[in-house]
Amino acid sequence: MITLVFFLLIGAALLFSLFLFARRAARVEGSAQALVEAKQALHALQGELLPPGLVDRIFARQDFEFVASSTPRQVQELFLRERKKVAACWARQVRAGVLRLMNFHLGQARFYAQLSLATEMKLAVNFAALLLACRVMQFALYLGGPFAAPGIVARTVGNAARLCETSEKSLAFLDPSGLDALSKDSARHPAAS
Amino acid sequence: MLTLVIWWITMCLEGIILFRSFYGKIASKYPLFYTYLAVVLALDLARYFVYTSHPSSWAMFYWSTQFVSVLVGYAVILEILKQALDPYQGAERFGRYLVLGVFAAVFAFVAYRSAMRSNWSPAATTVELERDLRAVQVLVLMSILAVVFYYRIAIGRNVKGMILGYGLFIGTNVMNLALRSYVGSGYHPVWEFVKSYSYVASVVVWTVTLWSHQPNPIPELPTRVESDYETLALRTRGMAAAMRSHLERTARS
Repeated sequence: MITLVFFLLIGAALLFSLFLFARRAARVEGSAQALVEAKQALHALQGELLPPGLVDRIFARQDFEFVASSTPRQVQELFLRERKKVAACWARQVRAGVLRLMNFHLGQARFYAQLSLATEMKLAVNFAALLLACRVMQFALYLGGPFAAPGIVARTVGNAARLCETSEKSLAFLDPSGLDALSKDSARHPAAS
Repeated sequence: MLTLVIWWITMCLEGIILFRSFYGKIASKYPLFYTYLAVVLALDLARYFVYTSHPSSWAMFYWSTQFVSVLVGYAVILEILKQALDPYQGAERFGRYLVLGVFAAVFAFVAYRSAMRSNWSPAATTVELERDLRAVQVLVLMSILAVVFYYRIAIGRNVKGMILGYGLFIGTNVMNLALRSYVGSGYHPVWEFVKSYSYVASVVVWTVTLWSHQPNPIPELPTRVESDYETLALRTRGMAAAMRSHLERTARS
């Protein structure tokens, strides 16, 4: 019986994969487009979403305590609603930024013949964990409001830092001097670029 | 009578696909796939002859030729692997190792099973043997699809048709053979029906998608310096490092 279930499951899994494959739009992503998107994502994360202090400000309980101590109930509720919207928007934007960074990595790595399997696997797990953490954070914010999950917020930020570290390692085989050499080469052969 | 009609339709469609492959000069683009199709058409013609002229030898002839058909099916898997990931060296490398990993895992499992059972034989019946060989094809095709999905590789109409047609055929076949093996001869009429119709559906998919040469979309390859992989990788590395430092500062604050 276990054998039967096993074969039925793998057959069904393939048919389901084919269904998803048939529905998938065949889109060729250009490297230039991916680079622009990655730059925009990084710029957004660095400049708009993750500067030190911003995250603390969005999730600061002191703000609510101040409002609670000096305003009527309706104002408090309005404050909570608005802060929840801001927090949810922040979480959505962080997730989108991570996704764009992931797309950039995959878009480039697929061309690279000496790609490291171990690092790719590690990156895949880290990306999946980070995206899942973002979803959990969004869910927690939706259910419990902006001050419900400070631990999850901190963990998500920590996971993102670890992911970046792994991403950096995947490219560590390159000698930084190589960039200089390439830059000089491009300066000597501007027509080639 | 219906069986014969299905048979004729299948052979006609196989012939049309092969004719179109030479007429449209597609055969040289996908040699392994068309070799598979030519072998299957030859087997179908031979089987038709035996079925109508020597019915007593039919069962034995069917199973012996079916083994050839399953083995030559691996050519389609190889063609899909080659065509789908060809311009993407990184993804191709990833896919190759994944496929080898699947093969290694399957053979390790078979070795383990043979070690655990004193009276074990490679396959108790030909049905089980075909089921096992098709299951390996299913796992390998799923690995290729996983790489295609993960790296968001764009696939052209021809290769998409090969994947959908062959995937549909082996996916339904594995389930069908598993039920045939489990239920026994009582399932035989259903098995015949599903086997024939799933293959006809596959051949229809191939006829439509391989009518003319429509290769995979060509990815936008980097120009000399701006998009050279190493340059881009270095830039990514720089971006990743900058992002990390921001995140770490945010986490600490």
